[in-house]
Amino acid sequence: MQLPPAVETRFESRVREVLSALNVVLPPERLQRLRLEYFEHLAGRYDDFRRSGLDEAAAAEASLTSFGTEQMVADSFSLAWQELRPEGHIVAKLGTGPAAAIGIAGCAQAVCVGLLFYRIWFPPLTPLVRVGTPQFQGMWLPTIAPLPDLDLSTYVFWSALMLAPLLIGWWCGRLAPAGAPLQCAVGCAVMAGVSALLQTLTSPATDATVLALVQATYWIPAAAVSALFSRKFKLFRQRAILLHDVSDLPRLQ
Amino acid sequence: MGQRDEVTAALLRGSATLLILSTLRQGPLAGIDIVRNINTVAGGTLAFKEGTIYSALHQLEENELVTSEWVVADGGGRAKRAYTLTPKGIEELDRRAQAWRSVTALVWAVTGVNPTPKLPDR
Repeated sequence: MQLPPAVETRFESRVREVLSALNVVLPPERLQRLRLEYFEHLAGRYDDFRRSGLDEAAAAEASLTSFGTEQMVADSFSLAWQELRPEGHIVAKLGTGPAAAIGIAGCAQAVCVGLLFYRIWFPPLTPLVRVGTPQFQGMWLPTIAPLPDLDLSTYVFWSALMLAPLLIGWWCGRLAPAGAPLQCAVGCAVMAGVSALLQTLTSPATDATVLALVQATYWIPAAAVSALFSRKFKLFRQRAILLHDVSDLPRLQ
Repeated sequence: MGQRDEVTAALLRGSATLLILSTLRQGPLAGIDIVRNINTVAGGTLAFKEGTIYSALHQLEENELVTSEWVVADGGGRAKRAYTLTPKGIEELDRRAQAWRSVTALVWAVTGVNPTPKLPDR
């Protein structure tokens, strides 16, 4: 049965509303498939209600009512989707955004701390030393590795430190359904706290203080701005998909 | 939603997978056909929002209990995504059906409520 244009527009609008609520959670190909399935479902139910004797408006209304509200349908899909991911239980507890922010910032922190420890325990140009000598003992105790120095590990450390918040923000902006900038800022603040704690363990080396300061003054704003741009970019890209005319839905002949 | 409907919805949430897998035992079906089938059997006594069935179907597919493909009826028209039970899905269906039988038998034994459903005439 051919859908009247007014009914098609109503169905298209409902499908778009559902997908808008899901568009930061699902990849574009999944959204496209759902778009086709939801629309086909509504059109099929409209046919059922028309055959049962309802007029056009009543059949459209009944189809939409039996389908469910956009929030209800989107929530059910979003929850099911999260449960499928290995990290689903943590995500379900924390929420997608905070879990992504903490998880990604935590990975960046692990990389930076790894580099930091490498610099502290294996300072540049450490000579080969014999077991039992004072030099050997010094290798296993924290020693000061002053910043800046010209060792390769310094460049790697600083590069990781500068790039990390941009990656954290970009990735979180893609994963978090809402509030990604704030969640990234909180995630980075937590990591700055971890670095400050680390300083007490690695004293007298001062590198962890540098890490904590960089995180507090650079990571937090940089990650937030990066998340903002990432989210805007993602919404812009997915909007282009969602704004397709539903009449373009493929027909297999 | 009345209190009775809420209870029905809560019970239904736990058995949605069993209902879907059981319906798919007939052969490949699209989401809308599964809904029609369940509605026909239940005669409208099950109050659930049809749009939510797709979350369950996609979840089943990700868990490899069903597969899906686009198909079109012989007369042409819009394409439908038809879902088919996999061997793993059949095993899961048997497992869930067995569990359901155990639970209903237990509830019957404790409450004395006859599990034979009173479905409307078809």
